[in-house]
Parts: sequence; C-alpha cells; structure tokens
Amino acid sequence: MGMFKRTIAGCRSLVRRAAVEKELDAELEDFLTTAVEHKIRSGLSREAAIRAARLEIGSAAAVKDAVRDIGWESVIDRSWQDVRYAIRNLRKSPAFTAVTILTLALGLGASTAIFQLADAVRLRPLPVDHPEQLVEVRMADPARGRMGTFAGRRPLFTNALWNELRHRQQAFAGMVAWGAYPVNLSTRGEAQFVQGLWVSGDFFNVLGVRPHLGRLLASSDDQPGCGNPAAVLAYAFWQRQYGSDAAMIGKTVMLDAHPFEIIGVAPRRFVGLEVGRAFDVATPICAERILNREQSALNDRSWWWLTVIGRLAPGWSLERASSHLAAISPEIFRSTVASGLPSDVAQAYVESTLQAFPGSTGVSGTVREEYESPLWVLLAVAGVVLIIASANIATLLLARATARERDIAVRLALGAARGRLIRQVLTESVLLAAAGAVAGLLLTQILSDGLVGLLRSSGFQFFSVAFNLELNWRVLIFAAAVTLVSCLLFGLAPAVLATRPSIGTLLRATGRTSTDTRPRTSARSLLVVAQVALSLVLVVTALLFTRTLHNLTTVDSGFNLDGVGSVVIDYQRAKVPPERRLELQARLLDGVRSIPGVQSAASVRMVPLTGESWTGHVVMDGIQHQKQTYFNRVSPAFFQTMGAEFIAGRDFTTDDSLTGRRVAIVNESFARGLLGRRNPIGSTFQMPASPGASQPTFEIVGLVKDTKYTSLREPFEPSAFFAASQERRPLEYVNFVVRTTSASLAVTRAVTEAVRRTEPEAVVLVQPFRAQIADSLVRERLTAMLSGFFGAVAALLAMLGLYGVVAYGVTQRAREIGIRTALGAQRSEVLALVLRQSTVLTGIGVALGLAAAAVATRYLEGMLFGLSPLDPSTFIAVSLAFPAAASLAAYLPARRAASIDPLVALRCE
Amino acid sequence: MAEDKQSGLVQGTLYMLILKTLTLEPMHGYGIGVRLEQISKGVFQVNAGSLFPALRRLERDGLIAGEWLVTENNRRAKYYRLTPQGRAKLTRETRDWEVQTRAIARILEASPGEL
Repeated sequence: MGMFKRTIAGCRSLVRRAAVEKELDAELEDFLTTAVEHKIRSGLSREAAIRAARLEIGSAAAVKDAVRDIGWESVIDRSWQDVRYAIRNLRKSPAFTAVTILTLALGLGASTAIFQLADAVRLRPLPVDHPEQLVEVRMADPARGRMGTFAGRRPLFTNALWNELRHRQQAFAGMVAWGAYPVNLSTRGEAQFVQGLWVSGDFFNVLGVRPHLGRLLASSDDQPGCGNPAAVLAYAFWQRQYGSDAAMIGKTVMLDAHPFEIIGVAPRRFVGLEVGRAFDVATPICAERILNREQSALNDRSWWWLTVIGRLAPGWSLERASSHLAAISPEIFRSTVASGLPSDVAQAYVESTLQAFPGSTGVSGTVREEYESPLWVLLAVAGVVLIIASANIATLLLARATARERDIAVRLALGAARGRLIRQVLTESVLLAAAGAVAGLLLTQILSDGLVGLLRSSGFQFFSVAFNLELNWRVLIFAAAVTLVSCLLFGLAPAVLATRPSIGTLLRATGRTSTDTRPRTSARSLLVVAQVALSLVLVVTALLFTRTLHNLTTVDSGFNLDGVGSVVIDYQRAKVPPERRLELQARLLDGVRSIPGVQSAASVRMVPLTGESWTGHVVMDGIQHQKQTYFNRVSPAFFQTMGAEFIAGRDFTTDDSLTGRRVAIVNESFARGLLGRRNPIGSTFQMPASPGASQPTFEIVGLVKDTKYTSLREPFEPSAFFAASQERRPLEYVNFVVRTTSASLAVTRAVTEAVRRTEPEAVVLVQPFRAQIADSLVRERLTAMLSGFFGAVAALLAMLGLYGVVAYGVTQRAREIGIRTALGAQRSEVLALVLRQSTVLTGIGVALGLAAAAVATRYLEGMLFGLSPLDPSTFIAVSLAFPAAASLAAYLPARRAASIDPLVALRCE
Repeated sequence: MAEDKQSGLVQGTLYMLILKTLTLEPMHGYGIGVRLEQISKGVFQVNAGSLFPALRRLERDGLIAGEWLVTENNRRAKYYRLTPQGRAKLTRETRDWEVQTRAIARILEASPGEL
C-alpha cells in the first residue's frame, strides 16, 4: 500500500476522529453482545456469560488504545492529548508552574548570557572573508632584544620591522598592520577621547571588509607624506557621534586638532581585529607623522606600536609560514636594528625570529587573557546552579508524582501502558522546559547587555571594552543543549520513578502510608546530598572571589586616594617650543593649585595604578642591576598629594633646577633591594647611557614608604622618582594629580576653567582616582558579584530541597510518629528522630562538597589575590554555616512532627 | 499492549490467518475470533486486544473492507470482506509461508551428517 494512501487514511481519521471513535465503540459493543449470546447458547447463565465475555475482552479502553495506536496519525493525536493533559495539570498548580519556569529561565538565561560573552571573547571567528586563513605574526620571544618606547595595547612591531617583513615575505597573500591610540576629537576645553586605529593602506582590502557607506581606505591613502589624510568611521561611532548621517561622507573630522576627510563608514559587524575592543575611527599609518610630528614613530626603530596579521597564500600552512618566517628573520632583523642600543640588546635583536600564530578569532591585547578564564569559571558556576535548580524541580515533580500516585495506580490498573504514562509525565517536563527556554532566551539578551554594561568602564572611553553580542548558531545550540540536558535531568527520573510501583501495593497502600516507597526516598535523598555538595562548592568559590575583591580594594597601595583625581592636559595645539614647556607646566600647576577646594596638586609622568609604566636598569657602583626598576618623574608635593609618607630626607623643591645636580627620591623596596645597609640619603646611582654618552648620576635626597606602581595586584617593587623640574625633553602634554576637599563636578569644571585661562588651546580630561581604580577592578567585581549571586541562589535552592525532603518525610511518617507519641515518646525524641535524617544528609553533602571544593578551587588560584585556594577561614566558615542553615531548614518540619497530635494522626486512617 | 501473549502467534501471521478466514464469506470481528479458535482446535485464542488492532491495520492497508450490515439476530454489525488486494496478498503470503516452512522443516529434519 502506497505512502499516499496511508497519508490520506491518517488525515481522514484525524479529521473524522469523532466518527471513527463512535464506529469503534459500536464495533466493540457488538463484539461483546455477540460473545455473550454465543456463551449463553453454549449453556452459561446470562450473568456468567457477561462476566466471561468481559474477562475475555479485557479492558475496553485498552483495546481502543491499541487500535488507536495503528497508523502515524496516532502519534500526533496522542502527543496533542498529552500536551492538553499536561497544560491542564500545570494550570491546576500555578505556583509550582511559575516557580519552575522562573527558575529554569534564570538558570538558562544566565548560562546562555555568560556563554554568549565567552563566545564573543574566545570562539567567534572575525567577521571578515575567510577568517581561517588569518595568522598573526610576531616575535617568537618578545621579551628579548626589544628596547625603546612601547605604545598601544599590542606593541609588537616597529614601523621599520613591519615594512621589511611586508616586502620580504612570500607566505602571505596579503598582510595588514595596525596600532590603537586614543585620539581627541575636541579642539579646545574638555577633551573627548575616542579609539583611533592606525591601519596599513590595504587593511580593509586584505580582510575583505566592504564599506557600509562611501569607500574604505586603499593603498593609495597610505603613501609617504600622506597628503590630505583620510579617515574611516566605525558604524557604532558614526551612529553615536553623527546620528547615522550619510551626509558626513566628504566632511572633515578633527583628530588631535588635525583635519581628516571622512571617506566612508565600516560595516556594523566589523569593529576591529582585537577581541573586546572596538575602534571608532581608522586612519592610515602614514598620517601618524601629522599627529605626532617631531615624535613620529614612522622612522623610529625603537618605537614599538604595531600588530601584524597576514592572510596565508593558497597552499601555505601555519607551520610552513612559520619556517619561512624563521628563514627570512635574520635579514629582516639585521636591516632594522636601531642605533644606540646597548650591545647585548642589539645582539639579541638581530638573533630574533618571527613566528606565525593562529589568528582566525582575532588577536587580544588584554581582554581575552583577562576575561577568558573568569568567563569559563562563571559558565561552570551557572551550569552547576542550573543542575541544582534542575534537581529542585525534580524534587518538586517527584512530590507531584507522589500526590498523583493513586491516580497513576488506577490508570495502570485500567490497562494504561506504562510507556504512555511516562510520556505523559515527560510531556509536562518538556512543556516546562520549553516555556523556561523561551523565557530564558528573552532574559539572555537583557542579562548579557547588563554584563557588558558592568564590564564597560565608566571613564576613559578608549579603555572600555566592546562586544558585538548576537544570537548566532553557537549560542542557540548551546541554549538548546542546556535546555535538553536539564529537561532530561529533572524530567526523566520522576517519570520513571512515578510509574514504577506495582498496582496492587499502591492501591492498598495509599491512604494508610506508614512507610515510604523506597526508590523515591532514596532518589530524593540523593538529590539533596548532591545539591548540598554542589552548592557548597559554589559558596566556597563565591567567598574566595569576594574576599579577593575585598583584599584588592583594601590592599595598601602606599597612597591615600580618597579625594584624589588625575588631570591630563594636552597643549600640543599651542605649539609651545620645548624650552618653554617646563615653564608652561609650572604655570598650569599654579593655576590648578589656586582653585578653592584644591588642597594640593602635582605633576607626574606616569599616573600610578593605571597600568602605564616606565622601567629601566639602575647602575650602582658601576654595576648594572639585573632587575628592572620602576621610574617616574614628579613635581614637588606629589607624595603629599597622593598621601604617601616620607620616611627620611626631603621632597623635591623648586631649587632642583635643570642646572643643579640631579636628584631622586626612592622607595623602601629600592633601598632594601639596591642599597643594602647603606644610608639611602646621600647615596648615588647612575642610569645606563647609550655608548659614548656619559651616564647621568643621581643623588638620593628622599626615602618614601613603598607604593604600588602599575596595579593593585602587583607586589611592592623598587621605584625611583626623578624631579619634574629636571626634565630635559618635556612633552606636549602633562598629567596632574589633584587632592581636593570635595570630588564634585564643580571642581572638575574649575580645573578645566583654570587650565583654559592659562592656555586657551589646551585640552583637559579630569578623572577621579577612585573611579579609575574601580575601573581597573571591573573583572574582579564582576566575578565576585556573579559568583556571589549564583552561590546564594544555589545555597537557597539546596536548603529548600532539604526542607522539602524532611517535610515530605514527616508527612509520610505522621502515623508512625503519632504512635510513638502515644506510646510516650518525648517531644525532644521526636525532634531528634526527624533531625537525624537531615543531619546525615547534610553531613554527607558537606563532606563531599568540601572535598570537591578543595579540588575545584585549585583551578582558581590565578584569579585570587591575597589568599590561598584552600583558604582555611573560608573552608571552616562554610563547613560551620552549612550544617547550621541545614538545621534551620530541617527544624521547621521537625517541629511540626513533634507537635503531631497522636489522636489526629491515628484517626486520619 | 499490541502483542498477544496468549495466542503465541508468530508476529505477522495473525494478519495472514485473518485474511484466510475471510476467503469464504464476510464475517464480523467476533466471528473471526471464534472461527480462528475453531479451525486451530483451540490452539490460537485471539482476544479483542490483538484482533481489533489487526483488523484496523488490514483495513487501513486496503486488504479488507468493513461494512455495517444487519446480522441474523437483527442487529447491526461491522462485517469485513476480502478485497482483491487482500486476496492477492494472501496468495503471495501463503506461497512464501510454504516455502519458508518447507525450508525450516528440511533443516530440522536434517541428519547429523548433513549438518
């Protein structure tokens, strides 16, 4: 028989269901009547005949069910029936349904949101042509042979090195280089920094990025001299800054006060090649000289600022490219070595090799390294919470199944197939999971936007992270898989267990339960033990992260940063000649100091705790110290402004002039590590100089307490501070630190005003210090907040689960407890009886949890600060708190058990 | 529930037997069951739980056709008759069955030397 006929027949019986049912009823009816008649004819009495016939036929419902099972349409039919039945059931208990769907939505939404972020940080290929062909090229060992200035987030190439590589290589069909830099849009007054990107001319062509509007940069835009420099806007920037105005093409944008012609807008999805960082405006590399003029990096062989990616030529593999790079490395490095390098550095430089690394998912300055492991940890945590939530839902479903025990027993007795009953119970779970998944996906978008909002630092826009979050197939598959797994977890076990008991025992047992049915009790107990153990691991994790954050925020930086802010003043538009810059800086500082509310102010070359650094070697008694020392250049009152304490000696003064002897202030670590037992004050040290030049000698005039330099996480390192007034080549910008009595907006405005009065062309950016530090701890705060939230939810769920099991046990044993009380058991004995169960469960859970936590936290070591992964106080705290909370959760039902009135319990039968 | 434990019929043979009982005249469900039991001398007892699903399947496959008629007792009952396809199918199945049983018999009667 053909497929076609079968389809028709199926559809017919779907449409004419009532008629088909009626016909079947009639047929069965007739069958019975005929059978009875037949038996009467063979000599049975009427009653006996009816009874025999009924026995022969068995359950009419079961026969009908078996007939209905014929044909494909019955699957649809039955599923639809199951769905309607499940919906009816769920609507009967709206609280249960709501709690379950909400729990699931939260668990699914949270884990999908975190996965979405992890996907953006780690997995997603770049939105360019054939991302799999992209490889990054960099030095095999960037720690050796490199000296000079390092600018941007990934300073891996000098311009000379990049040009040499580009012209000598044969492995790549195309190569691109870029460097990120903060660039100022405003021409006077308050600065507006955005993310600029120097790109090689064929950057967009090689990557295969096509313009959203206008045209993108081409090789002809990146020629020596640069002519009229061109700029390409990022889509988001164009939208944000210019309201998506198409008429901007051909107009001019001012970058660091230089005009650039806007030639096009990049597509929305392309935000650059660096993970988690988006560019705002891309300009050709040749234009660097226009912005940086006398300090241009284009011809400076010791200025590292570029990152390089190449597209493999057809037939080339990563390994082959690497060996090709190694082969051409000697001539590349020989022809680009900078002059004036110390001979050992120069030697290491010419011996360096280039190597190829996978680049299909982009490169990363810091974002991937910083966020990858926290995100995987958080994903694991969210997954565990989902498991705990699933276990809780399983417990709830088990309880529901118990309530329906009699109903199910009756159905089994009437001939319902066990498989069908399991399907019915499972349908309920699937419906719940589906509703939870839909709600979860809606929640995902909100949650991941919130997450990125947390990550985005408030202040410097060019430090902020950017993620292009989208629902791609990886995210959807992840969500579907998680839903499926949790659905099976919480749905299957109750369905199987609920339909297991044999009919007879159940029909007899319900109503007069003295003992529980075994498999379900052990299943529930197992679930509770697992919940307690898992949630304990999460709570330990959360505590470790929270204490890490606490340690970092309270760690002694050597400074007192309350009420301190930093100010960047850029006066390059004023075109001040180098010899007059010190004087201008002093006047600017005087202007800021005279503002009411400003207690003190000072200039500083590298603002502490912002990640910037200046390092070098110190020569002591003619010997170069092996370890690098941090350097900085500060004006008088810097230590006072930053709240750092002097131990001995004096601060810099205005008398420390360019013509006087050079002076320095050092910290304790410097004194301890480099000076030994010598009295620091009056000691001298030298700085290494290029061959031929004389080494400058510095006399130490002051000793300060230890202070941190780049970040709160690092230990105290030897630092030396030089006098700002002895700066030989002052820059065209200056950083101030300012201590104020109030950190109000008014002060910010007053500072901007004061600077403008002194130098109208200057551009100012004011930033409170605390906010800067908060920004630098964004990752730790995120991890602590989320793991804390998940830990709390997990613990709450586990305690609810425990409460549920104990309460259920009490209900089941009400009769037994009644008898015990009637026979003279004391209230305390009943309490103990009930509490014993929860104590055992909690005990096992806590023991398992502690063991698991001890193993799991080892993987967190790198993310912790100031405590070990086996931090004793954390472990002791949870192993005390968990049993305490568990006792509370068990006490409520236990008290109810103790107050069971034996008369009521026994009469209940 | 679709399998019939009492009758011990080889899966699929029930269809063939039903077709066979209908070669002489159209019958209703109960009649088919009784006839099967009679002919097999009580070896096969087909209960309603297996009979009705089998009838439904044969009907859907177009091998038998059902028709509501008035019985000798003046009641309405659904009589099944063999369709031409059903007759052809029965012939085919019978031939296959004979080939198979003969082959099985030969194997079972084989002397130790032949094995």
